[in-house]
Amino acid sequence: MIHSVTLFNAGMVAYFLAFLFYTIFTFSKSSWSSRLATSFAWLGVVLQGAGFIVRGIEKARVNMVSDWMAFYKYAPFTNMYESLMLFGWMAVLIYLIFEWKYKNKAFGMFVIPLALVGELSTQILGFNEEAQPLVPALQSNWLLFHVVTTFIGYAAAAVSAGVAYAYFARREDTTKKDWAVIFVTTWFIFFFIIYSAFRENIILYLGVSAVAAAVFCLFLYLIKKTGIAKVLPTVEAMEQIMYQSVAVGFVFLTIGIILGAVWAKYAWGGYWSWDPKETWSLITWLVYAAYLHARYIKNLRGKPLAYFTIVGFLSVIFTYYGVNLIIPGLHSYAQ
Amino acid sequence: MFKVLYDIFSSVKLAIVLLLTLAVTSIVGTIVEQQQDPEKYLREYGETTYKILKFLGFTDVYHSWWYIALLTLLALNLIVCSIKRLPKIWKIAMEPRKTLPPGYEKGLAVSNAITLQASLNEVKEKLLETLRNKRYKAEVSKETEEEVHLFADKNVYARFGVYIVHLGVLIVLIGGLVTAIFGYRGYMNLAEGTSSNLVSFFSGPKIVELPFYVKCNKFKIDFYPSGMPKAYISDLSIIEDGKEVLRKSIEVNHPLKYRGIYFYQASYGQGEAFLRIVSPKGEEIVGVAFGQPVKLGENTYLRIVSLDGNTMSIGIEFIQNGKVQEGVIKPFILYKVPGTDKSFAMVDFKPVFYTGLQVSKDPGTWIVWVGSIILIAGLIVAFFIPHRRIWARIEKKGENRARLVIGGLANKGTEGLATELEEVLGVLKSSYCQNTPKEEES
Repeated sequence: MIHSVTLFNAGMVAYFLAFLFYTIFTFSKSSWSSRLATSFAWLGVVLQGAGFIVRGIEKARVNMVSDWMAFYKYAPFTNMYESLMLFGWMAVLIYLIFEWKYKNKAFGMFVIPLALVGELSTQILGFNEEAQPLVPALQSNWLLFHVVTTFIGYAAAAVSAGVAYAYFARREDTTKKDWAVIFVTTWFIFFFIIYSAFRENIILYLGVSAVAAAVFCLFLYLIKKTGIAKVLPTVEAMEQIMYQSVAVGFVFLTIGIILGAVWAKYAWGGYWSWDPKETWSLITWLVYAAYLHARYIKNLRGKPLAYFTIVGFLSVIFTYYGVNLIIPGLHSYAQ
Repeated sequence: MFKVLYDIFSSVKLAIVLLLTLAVTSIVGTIVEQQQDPEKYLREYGETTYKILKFLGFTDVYHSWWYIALLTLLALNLIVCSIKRLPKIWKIAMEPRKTLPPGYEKGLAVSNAITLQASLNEVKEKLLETLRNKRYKAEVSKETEEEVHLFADKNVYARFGVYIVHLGVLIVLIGGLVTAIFGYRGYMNLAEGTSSNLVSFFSGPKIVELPFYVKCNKFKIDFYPSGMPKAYISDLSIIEDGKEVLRKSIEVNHPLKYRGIYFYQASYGQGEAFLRIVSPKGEEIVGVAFGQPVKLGENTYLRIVSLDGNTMSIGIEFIQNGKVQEGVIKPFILYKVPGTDKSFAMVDFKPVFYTGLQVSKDPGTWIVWVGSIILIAGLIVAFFIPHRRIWARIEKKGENRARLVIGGLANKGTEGLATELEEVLGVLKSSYCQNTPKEEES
């Protein structure tokens, strides 16, 4: 039988082609490139969707179960490799739903590479791609629902942050101070991701992530300077998209946290234990709650709201990478 | 004074400040390990730093007075905010202007006008029917010979989504409070064949006596071929008044529940001590797992915690009236228990496995679940369900001709409303425009 890793890799190739055609479409506006871009993105989603099913069968095998319940009980989202695949898959899927609903393909060029980088990072950071058996704590009916809702939340947070960065490239009045903040936040994001995988040599990885962040900022700056950013929707439309993806993310994050609490009640003896993962998910929730209230304050509209979504995503990144890999706690099995 | 406080607590700015302060202070508890023994902190941070951390409450952030104060302020803020805004929203939602005077359609998000081949009354009835079919609550708000005004709305409750969310958050906080006051979490170590009714708290020296006994009949571990553990299984019995009333195998994720108390498979260990307990009435031999207390008298307990095979010294914890004393004893020597007429000695040891159960009682859980459901329902209503309102004015333009002006507002997603209005107009057109429909300005 075909291996799940093969299907995930084939999906990544499809995403890469989709990214190419989205870029071509953005500049040429040709209908063939538009059709090819969307087709390849969907092809990637289908391939990786099949990948998850095959993965579920593989996991059932290593867990030595054979009935149909195995798939959802041993859902294939239990280590860094599988969860990053889920993250990428979910981000593309959410993007495609937005594309279909709003008939706007301008963000494909930004979201697809984000998902692709997330998935490719499993190779760069050296996460084990083998299907592994589940420790007793993870064998639960709640696993599937808790992980899927949480990851829809994460992916929506990523989409909102991606739009927030594009937003600064689109705005006419982006100042030096804004660029500094963009640089520092991306620096943190890259640093958490890289450092959490290796956990040594802080100075080296601070340097590496600073370079990566600088390249990213330069990319945004060039998009702005060359006027390419003009192909993006209007500033107001982007604010609306940011808000909507935060709204989706907030609802799913809330459901994910609550399902986690229900699971914790059955596994750990209480709905809340102030485990670092729980606490960080609460911190993320509080940041997005603050964002939703900040919308009602005049002085905080515009740029400050975009900062909120970036800080919220930073918190998501720390909840996901930092807590899994740096701080020990009840959630530490996800390595 | 009251006015000033009311104004402060009803501001959204305070809510943002509190939410962010809670977010930032919560980080502390993920950096400094929480609720550890003082010795551990002293080893890690040194005396001065530990004193500062302790003073600031950083060793137990989430139960510190200032964290609880922040949560209380947030709850107050939430209540006052809702009390202040609810009447306004109520008025907007429940008592809108229901007529559509000429020109007012320009102020609506979507509007349309069309002339139809039908009488005033026919258009009115058809429009009411169409709107009701689309699950609108529709009514005639003003009716004269020349003009009819209609008002229709749906999902009016969507205006209150935010308040449903706030209510949910409050109920969750109340649940947390109930948990903190009436709940407890502790543990029980049971070697195979032994039973006990004593639950030790994770924090502090407190021991709870359950009104029934828990017996471990069997404990086993299943492994994957790779050697990784697959399942921890304890076969437990509940014994009440000397009779077995319930027997169940528990695993991680599948606890046992009896009389509101949950027993979880949490850990396991090795070591069972046998104590000879001598009292004026006689003597008995009691087998007990390491870490599990034995009751020696009123508020007097003893725990065997370790055994050093080389020096034959046995680590014990003696708990009397809520105070823990650590000590070392030697085997076979009879020790007098202070404050009682009993003596004890450790007479045997077996390196058998014991099951580690987590025991918890939490009457707040159901309150938290109810709050959570309300919270999720509120979020879905607040973010995804639009309150839509439609106003219409039908003007008489002759015996069998009427002009319909119709428009609407939605508190989110105007596109959906526009589509719905199109559909309503479509129905009217197909009924009353045999010829090519003639549209006016849109």
